[in-house]
Amino acid sequence: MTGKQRFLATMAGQEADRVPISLLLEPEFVMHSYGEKVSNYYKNIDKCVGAFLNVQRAFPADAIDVTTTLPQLGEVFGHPPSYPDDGYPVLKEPVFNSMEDLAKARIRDIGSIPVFQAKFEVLEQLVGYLGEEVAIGARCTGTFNLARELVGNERLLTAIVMEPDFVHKIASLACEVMIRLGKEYINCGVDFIYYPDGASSPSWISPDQYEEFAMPYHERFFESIKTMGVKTVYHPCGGEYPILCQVRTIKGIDAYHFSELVDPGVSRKIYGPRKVLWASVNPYRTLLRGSPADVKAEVKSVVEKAAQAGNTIIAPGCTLPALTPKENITAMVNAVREFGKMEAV
Amino acid sequence: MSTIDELRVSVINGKKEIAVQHVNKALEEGIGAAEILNTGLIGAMEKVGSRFEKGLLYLPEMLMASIAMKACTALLEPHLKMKVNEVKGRFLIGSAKGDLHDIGKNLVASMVEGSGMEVVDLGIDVAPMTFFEEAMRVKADVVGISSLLTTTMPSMRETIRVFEEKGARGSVKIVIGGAPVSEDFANEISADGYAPDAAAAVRLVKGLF
Repeated sequence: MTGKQRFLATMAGQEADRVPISLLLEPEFVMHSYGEKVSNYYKNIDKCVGAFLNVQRAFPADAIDVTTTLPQLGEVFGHPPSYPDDGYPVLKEPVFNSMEDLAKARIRDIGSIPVFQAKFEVLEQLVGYLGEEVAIGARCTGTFNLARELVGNERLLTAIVMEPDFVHKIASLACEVMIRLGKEYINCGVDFIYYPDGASSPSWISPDQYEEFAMPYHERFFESIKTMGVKTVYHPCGGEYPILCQVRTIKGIDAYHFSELVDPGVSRKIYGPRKVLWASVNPYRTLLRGSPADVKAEVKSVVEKAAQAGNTIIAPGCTLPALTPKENITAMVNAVREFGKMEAV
Repeated sequence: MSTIDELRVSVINGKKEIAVQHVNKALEEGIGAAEILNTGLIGAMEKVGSRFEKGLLYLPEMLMASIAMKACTALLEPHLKMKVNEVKGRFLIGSAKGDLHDIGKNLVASMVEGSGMEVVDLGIDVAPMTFFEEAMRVKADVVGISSLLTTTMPSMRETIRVFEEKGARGSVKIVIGGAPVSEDFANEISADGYAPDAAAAVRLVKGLF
């Protein structure tokens, strides 16, 4: 099987020859590995594509994805972030401060914004170069992640207690933006949409607050994206145990990626053998600071806990830290190939 | 319920206006400002921290409690014989160089302040030399460095190195925190401690004074 076939079969709950791997690379890692500045991830199509091709050659994963960096989405409301030469985009101030601001919000045509045009071109080229062998995905940020970027962390958190209408208004607006962006990505030919939303995780808000303020918008996003025929992955990102059962009820999700804070064996027990899980290797303790032997041992353990019946993709618990030693990434890729073979039943 | 108890409950529940009313009432009843602070406010924030660690409240409630605490503290300051946190120690905090995240740092700053210490917040993207210069300027007892990006973690090591190079390492404790950070990393860079969340940070910092 090609990596793409393996990945898509697993995502569809079908048999594959082995467990696939996805690396969730950060822009800094991708560009620095290629000797390029981070800003080129956003602004130089050729260098960005070259960097992805280079990384895929060095660490052959079954799926790769291009990310949306949160502050970029200020552009959608006419508030472009600053783009440091060798760093991530930064929105210096909230875009919206009041209900009045939100009432006047207008979403620009994303396809007309140059930095997004560049991103779409990168995706189309990657689909062209790699799309027969490797699954290509796009990382859409989550609704609550975007909401907090647009209004500020503390404003969103206090509004949950003091101004619930404000939270619903900004979450609804953020959800609409992500649906439009998701559709643009799908038009580029991607195979999957990855949706991380740490700001609605139990690291931030309670399960009751998650149910009231976040779940409706997550479901709206996934159900909308599903109608376009791509696979969806949800990454709640952050101390997810309190919401594991709630997450199961959200419609439109093809695969669940819980962070390293959730034991893959526990999530497999709760979700059963048929749900597709992205099972996590600890990105900090193991991938960043461990040895190749540590990585190999953890991959083996994760496969044993979660992948006995297939329906599992191995990934870091969150994005792969940019300073992860290259030998550890190689160890992870090799270990998945070694331990992830499916046994004949 | 006594006025102090009512004050404590209103802070824990993040009810700023009600908490301020209780502070005024307590002062009118002749309760000393120091007692209001220590028993009412600091006691409340300790409860908030404890409940956060147990998963009984989350960031929205913690923030609301911090906001209530600050409003009450501001009201008390003129009534106290010395500055609110003068004797308890000075905590300097900032996000590591290159790191623009601040929610965790802000919470730690609020919680440590709520526990009775003076806090100097340097903000985000703080260079190692800035940590040193400001620590010397304000005579910090403890320096806290927050990092959410793995690429900014080396700056924590560099900050400690700067203090060592300037001969000031022995005069200040340096603690670290943030999602990618760990106790192992703290030991590796010879930090004086690591805290996984704001409530643990308060206990860590208080224990270092």
